[in-house]
Amino acid sequence: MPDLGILGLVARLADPGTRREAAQSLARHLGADDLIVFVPDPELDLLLPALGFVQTLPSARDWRSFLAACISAGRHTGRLPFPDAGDTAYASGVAVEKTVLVLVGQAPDVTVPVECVVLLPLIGAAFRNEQAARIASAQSAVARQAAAEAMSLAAALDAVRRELQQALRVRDEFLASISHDLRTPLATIRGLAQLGVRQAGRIGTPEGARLAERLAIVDVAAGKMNAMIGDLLDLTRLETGRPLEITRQSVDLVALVQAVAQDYRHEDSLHGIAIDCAVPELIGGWDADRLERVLTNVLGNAIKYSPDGGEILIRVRSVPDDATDHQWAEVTVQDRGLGIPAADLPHVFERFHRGRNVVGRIKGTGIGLAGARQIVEQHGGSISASSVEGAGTTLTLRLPISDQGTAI
Amino acid sequence: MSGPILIVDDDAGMQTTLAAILEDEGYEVVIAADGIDALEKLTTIQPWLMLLDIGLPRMDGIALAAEMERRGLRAGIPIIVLTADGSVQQKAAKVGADGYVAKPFTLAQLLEQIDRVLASPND
Repeated sequence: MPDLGILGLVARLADPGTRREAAQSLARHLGADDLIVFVPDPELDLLLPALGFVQTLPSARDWRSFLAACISAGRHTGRLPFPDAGDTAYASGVAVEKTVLVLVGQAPDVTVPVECVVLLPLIGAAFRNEQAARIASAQSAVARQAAAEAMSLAAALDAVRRELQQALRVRDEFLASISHDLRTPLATIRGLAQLGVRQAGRIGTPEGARLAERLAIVDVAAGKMNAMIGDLLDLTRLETGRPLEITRQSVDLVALVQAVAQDYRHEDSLHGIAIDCAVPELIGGWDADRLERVLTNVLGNAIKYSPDGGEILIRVRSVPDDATDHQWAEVTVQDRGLGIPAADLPHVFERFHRGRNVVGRIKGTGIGLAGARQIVEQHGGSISASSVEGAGTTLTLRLPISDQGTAI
Repeated sequence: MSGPILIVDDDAGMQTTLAAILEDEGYEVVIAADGIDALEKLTTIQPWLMLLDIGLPRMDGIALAAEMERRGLRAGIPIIVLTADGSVQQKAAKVGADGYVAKPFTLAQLLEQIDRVLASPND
């Protein structure tokens, strides 16, 4: 809008034609963003005495007072479309009282923040009442609609939330049921395979020994399937932010590490798996199955990500806590494999994150270590990785051993 | 220990597996397919141990333990719960079991639980 200065009284409009002229004149000066202050009829009583005064406003100070009075006296202010010449409602108002006062003002030091157009319709009581009723009805309709919309939105949101919860419950129930159904035949496979290992070993012939060896592989494979089912169940818990139900019992970490390593020795001849235990046994109150899965996972990674072989060294020891007199059980698994790029190292325990040096080269899902971390942390322990790309990785897990559970 | 071990499991593969493992250890076994079947068997045999699955048709493991309690059959028969449910420990607690093993189990886990029950004073 150009700097209009004080235009003062633009027009006293007695008929629509003159009003149209004034409107067109104003429209030339007004931009789309200009604020129009529209003072509707309830304020007329207040303002009417001022009208005569307006015509003789001599100074910016008077303009400011007048405009401030318009705005601060609780007038309806806001952005309204400039009345068009064909606006019949407006025109009928004009017709009733024959007079519309249009003021355009912008005083040089007026503190009213924007250019203002003040339209004062001088209209009859009947039109005023009708207008007021229309406004009130429009306002209540708007309010009713807004309330109805808010309620239906809240209801819709609630319904979506319920559906989502229902879907999650259905999925969890499905997973629980399917994992139960998968584990039952796995129990048969493992049980008979293990019994077969034992009985074939008793045969005492090379053939019996070979049979035992193969049945041991069947058992290990079934054990891995079972671990995957467990991972899948835990993963959904991780996803929905629910804690795992840790089942603590007395576990000898040394024996567990040896058993897991032995399982891998059955099927992997490329790597030498060496175990260095500082203590003959290391007993704590842990969830044996889940801990076995963590070790299976970590050792499995060490094997998987050193495709060219090389020794894998597992160390088990107990280390004192720096701050308390508690002891930590510590297991480190060190390989001489591909390693983890420095940029990926901080993210290896995040779900679905995989090192850029192995994506597309070695199969994997990126959930193993995320699950391992979840299990270790819910035991009150920690897991960390250090690595030099191309030289190998060392995974370190620490578990508190002060909290000794007992088997029932 | 005199008398058989009562296996209560509805899965045929599991029945065969448990029977084979226990017979290999020199135990005598009797198999029941569900709680109703087990109650019938209990009228004619006196097992010294029961291996109990939880999810069973007609009468499940928890209901069977409660019914045995009601009929005064529960005392003197230690129970080891075997289940593929995720919450084996809670299920075992509900039954008031003397031990539990999650399916799939290792031979060592199963035999260790049995040995532990064997070693504990009989109530």
